[in-house]
Amino acid sequence: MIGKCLSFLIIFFLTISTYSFGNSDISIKASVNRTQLSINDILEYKLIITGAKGQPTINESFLKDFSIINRSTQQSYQLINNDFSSSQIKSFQLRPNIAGTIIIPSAKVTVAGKTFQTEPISINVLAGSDATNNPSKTTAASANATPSKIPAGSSKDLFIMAVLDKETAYIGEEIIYSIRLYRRFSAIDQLLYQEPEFSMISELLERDQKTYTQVYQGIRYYVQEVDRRSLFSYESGAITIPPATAEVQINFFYGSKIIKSNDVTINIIPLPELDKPDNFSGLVGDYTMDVDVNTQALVENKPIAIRLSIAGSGNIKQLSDLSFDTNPDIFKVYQSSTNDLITYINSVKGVRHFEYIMVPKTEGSFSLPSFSFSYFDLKTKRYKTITSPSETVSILDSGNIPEAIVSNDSNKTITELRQDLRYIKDSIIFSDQAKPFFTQLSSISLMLLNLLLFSSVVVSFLSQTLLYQKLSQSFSLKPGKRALHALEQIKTDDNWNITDIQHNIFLFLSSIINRPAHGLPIAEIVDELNQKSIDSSAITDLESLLDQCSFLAYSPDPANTTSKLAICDKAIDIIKRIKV
Amino acid sequence: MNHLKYIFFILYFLFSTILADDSALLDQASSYYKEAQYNDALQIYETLHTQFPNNIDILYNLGNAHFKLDNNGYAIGYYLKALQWNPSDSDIRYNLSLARNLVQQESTQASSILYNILGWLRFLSINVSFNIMLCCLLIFLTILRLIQLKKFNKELLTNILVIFGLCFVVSFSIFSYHYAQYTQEKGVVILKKVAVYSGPSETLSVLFYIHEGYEFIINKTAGDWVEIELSNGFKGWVPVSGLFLL
Repeated sequence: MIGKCLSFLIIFFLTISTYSFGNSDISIKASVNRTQLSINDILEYKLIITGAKGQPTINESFLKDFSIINRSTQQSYQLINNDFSSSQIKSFQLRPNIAGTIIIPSAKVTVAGKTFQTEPISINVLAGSDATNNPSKTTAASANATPSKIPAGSSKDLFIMAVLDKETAYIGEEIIYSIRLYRRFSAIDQLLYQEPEFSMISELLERDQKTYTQVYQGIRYYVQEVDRRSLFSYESGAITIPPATAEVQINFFYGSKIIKSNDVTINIIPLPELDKPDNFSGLVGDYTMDVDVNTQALVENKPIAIRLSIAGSGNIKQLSDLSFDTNPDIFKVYQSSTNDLITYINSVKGVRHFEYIMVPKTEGSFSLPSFSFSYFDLKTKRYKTITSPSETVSILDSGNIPEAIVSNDSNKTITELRQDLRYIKDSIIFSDQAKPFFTQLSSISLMLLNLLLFSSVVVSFLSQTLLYQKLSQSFSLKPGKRALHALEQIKTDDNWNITDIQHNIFLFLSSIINRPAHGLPIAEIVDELNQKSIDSSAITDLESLLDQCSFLAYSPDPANTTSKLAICDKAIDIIKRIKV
Repeated sequence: MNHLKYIFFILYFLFSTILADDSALLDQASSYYKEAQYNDALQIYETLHTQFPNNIDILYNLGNAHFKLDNNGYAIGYYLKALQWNPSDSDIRYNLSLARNLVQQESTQASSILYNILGWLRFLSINVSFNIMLCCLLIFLTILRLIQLKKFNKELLTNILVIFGLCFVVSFSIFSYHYAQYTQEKGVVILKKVAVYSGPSETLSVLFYIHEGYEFIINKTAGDWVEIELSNGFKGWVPVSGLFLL
């Protein structure tokens, strides 16, 4: 039911609209986007046809004083208070062929057999600058123009075409270079593209991903963009871009083909020397400047940052630095950082951010340093300089900083007025040179002390080990020799004692019986000596000598020198005999 | 004996004459500095610096003269050089902080964990830390020897031995840290802006820019180029001509 109602409504609506269109009044109006232009400029001429039912026909002969660069048609429908109306806008992009006052005659438009006329329009065309110093074809018209010849050596079925958006450009001006693949095959398997060698700066742009159809030389082709880039030349003269190469894998049956594009030539003309600013760095295009700085509470010697953003379209990367005008006694300026936000879609466009650090050097009221840059404006064909706005700011003395900035401590009675260097040292001891630790006397002394202590600790530790005792025994004198030596010493010594002789004899005997002889009964010592096969007479003499010593040791009358010598001689004799 | 006396007098005379000349130069430099003739003062300090390259006070004065001439990179370099030998000098530290404030300091401060935790280590020089380590070792060995001699209370000595053993370990770690700092080659940027390349050639791509006063460590050297590393880990090559090497 609802579907039937909807169908009825649509039929009714179409009937009404047809009736309305058929009876509407047809009106035609002509307009231009400007009435004064130079001979190289483009004029847009519009014909607005309202209320036409059929397709209007326009006789273009009235535009004989112009070259038609482009045509386009727009159509729109409107429903206002149940009253339908339609309008068509026919646009022509025109370049004047002659200078002076040109009257565009009435346009004759034929709609449904009836001819309508517009009002004539008068425009003023200025002669403009010398054509050799002016890129005459820097227009959108030639931007997507397709060369009239298929590249030599290519078949009509498959070829690639190199296109430039202009034939003449200024040094540094952006030139759009694109490569398009024309094919009669609806699909291809693979495309391997080899770009040509560009003798200028090249920036890759986002290529058109769509494939569309185009009639070229009477043949319908599938066209797709293979490469698109912006070129910037910094040398003047005619520059030829060599052909690009592509290997196209068509399909299984046709195999692959290597095709080459046409070469393209562009004429690069130098920028005018007249009125060229000193700070011009080669920037060409259209740019604006934006400044961001916080000028509140500027304090002497306290750095602040200023951020300048240069936005526009063209060779923006050519701008490496901004020029600034500053008095270093008032502001010291340092370049801090440069950041880019550039897009590469239809052309090179974006923003380059420059950050500078400014250090106010003195108190007072001063203008902020002005930053500027220059570029060549392609629209006016003149140099333009953009300067940051001059702003007067107050710099506070670091000693007069408001309390809110200095400190929140209300009890603070002493405030530092300014910061400056601590003063130089004017009394220097020249010989007081810094030395590394390994050459300092104190360090060397400490190292030696440590070494000594370490050695003593190690030696003491080792001396307690069994190995050390064995070693010391092996290196010391033999017991017999030692005893003889000690007894010889006792003979020459005035302060002697009988126990010294006994001690040395016992030490010697200990080495013979391999255990301490001190405290052993004499009979036991004698028995052990007998077991060692020692001369029995020597043992007997030893026994009597030990008895004699024991007697003298307990004698109230100390032994005199004569007895001492006799005992010593006797002991030496016995030791020699036992040793042998 | 008389000959020795004469030789001594001649040597004393020569030595005192040389020192007197240098003192006069120093006085001259000081008066230039007072009259804000910093260039003249700087020339004299540089002459003195060539004669006494490791004199801390001359390094300090050189830093001051460069600071006044707005050569902040040089000023920071000389202050750091002086501070290496006398890190506890408050004047050097103060002037260095002023110089650092006037340049961009995005990545100059070291940020190792040890550096942050033991901030006071900055006030010790390598010489002092070495001597502290040796003193700890000396006490440790002395106590060990006393224990061996068995002349004092063994328990007490053992406790002291453990304490000084730990002291020695800590002081050794501190010395190792200072030694690593001492052997590390460092530098400061002296030009207003220096491009840092991906390799030792201007034909290679520029990685980033550093500005006057940036402090860095040097990893490698290749001819007139050095590979630098910033505290944030950024690395690159720069020509030596734009740098002040410590």
